[in-house]
Amino acid sequence: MTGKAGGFLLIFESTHGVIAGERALREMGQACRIVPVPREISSQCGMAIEIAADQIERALDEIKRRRINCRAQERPPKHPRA
Amino acid sequence: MGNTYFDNAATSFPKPPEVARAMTRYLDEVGGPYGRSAYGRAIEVAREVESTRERLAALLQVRDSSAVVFCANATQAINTVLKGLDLAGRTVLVSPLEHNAVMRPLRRLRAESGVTIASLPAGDDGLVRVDRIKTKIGRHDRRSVGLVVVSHQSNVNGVIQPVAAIKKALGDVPLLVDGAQSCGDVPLDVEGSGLDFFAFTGHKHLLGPPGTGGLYVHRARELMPLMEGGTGSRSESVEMPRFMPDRFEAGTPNIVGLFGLGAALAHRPSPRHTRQDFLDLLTGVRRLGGVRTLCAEVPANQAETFSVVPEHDDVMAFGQRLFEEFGIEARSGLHCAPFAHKALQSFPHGAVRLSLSPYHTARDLDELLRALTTVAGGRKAGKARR
Repeated sequence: MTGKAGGFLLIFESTHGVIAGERALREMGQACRIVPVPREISSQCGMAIEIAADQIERALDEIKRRRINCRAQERPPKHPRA
Repeated sequence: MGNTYFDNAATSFPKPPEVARAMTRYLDEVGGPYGRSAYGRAIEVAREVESTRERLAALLQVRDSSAVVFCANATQAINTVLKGLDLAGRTVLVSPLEHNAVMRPLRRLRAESGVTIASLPAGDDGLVRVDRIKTKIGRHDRRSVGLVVVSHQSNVNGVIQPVAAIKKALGDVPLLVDGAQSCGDVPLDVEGSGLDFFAFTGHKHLLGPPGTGGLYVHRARELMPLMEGGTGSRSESVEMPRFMPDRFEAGTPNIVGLFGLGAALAHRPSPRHTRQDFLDLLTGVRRLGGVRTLCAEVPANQAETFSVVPEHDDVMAFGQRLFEEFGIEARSGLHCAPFAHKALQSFPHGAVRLSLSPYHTARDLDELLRALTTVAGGRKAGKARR
């Protein structure tokens, strides 16, 4: 899941956003996983989507194209793998 | 005995078998909360609930599903709009066929906030006269009209209102459409029609369980939430989120119900009777002596709900005979719509209402006509065409 350069988390406002984001990524064939939001990250809801770093640009483009609000953040080093 | 249940305007029965299976699966196998946790079970629940939201958005032809918020029922959805808008001192126009879900909160707003309630121009069957709307609004000073409320489909006589044309005539005056009866029965492009708010319930023509429903919100910024509480989002803040749908979804939703509603939306049955079967039934009823039929003047504006007012019998006794002699299950009385019955001149005694579902066969409709003919005294002007 983390790919060559580490992992990123996509942070959404709401559960609705997380599921919409997951659907968007799956429909474009992008591997992703819903994970708990790390404690260190101030988040809008308790779930985030983990995605490989080398896929983040492509993923963000699709999510923004679908007008789903989210931001990307590099996964903190201490965040345990889900 | 065939399908004798003709009270689908109250709640629909039967439901697609997948509804109970989905609800049982949630209760027995899935469990877990929505939007509160982030482990496998909770993620599955989130996916299922959001799938229901997506299906509703598709049905309503709404592009952004976050504009569809879940409510316990259409009544809560309607109250969200009526109490969430700033209507103090303003005028609210309503169709003559509104349900108590609209009229009771409006009465309270009139008493407490100085809201003026006025009727839209309409024909004898309650169909709104779109050509007279602009004149009506002009009489009230357009700026003072805070909201217009129209029941898309009457729960008494089945009249279907031309809500898209009404919105076009209103321009930027907000329109709330009560879709409690119509959603799942009358196709409607909610977003394309320019509706500002559309309230609906899950347990009537959507064939889902009670305790589900929702509200399409186009003007979210103008609307205050009806309830504040936990949303599972922005938990560090004591303010309700400003983003959709969370702004209007405080508290735990009816998760088991939404599983069922999702299954209902995914497994909609094909009708077992034709439109002509229904029109033949209605024609037969209208020809009966001894009863007055409450229905649309024009068949094109008629949903598959209508009522009969016995001319020589007590309304409750008439309904009781239908049940005891023929097993016909129908609601007698005022149907929580005294305002409508006043407009249709059936107040205070009301009527006996018959409302169909996709599960009725042509034979069921024949049996209903036979029952009505017998209870009405057997006096009829002619046979219904088959």
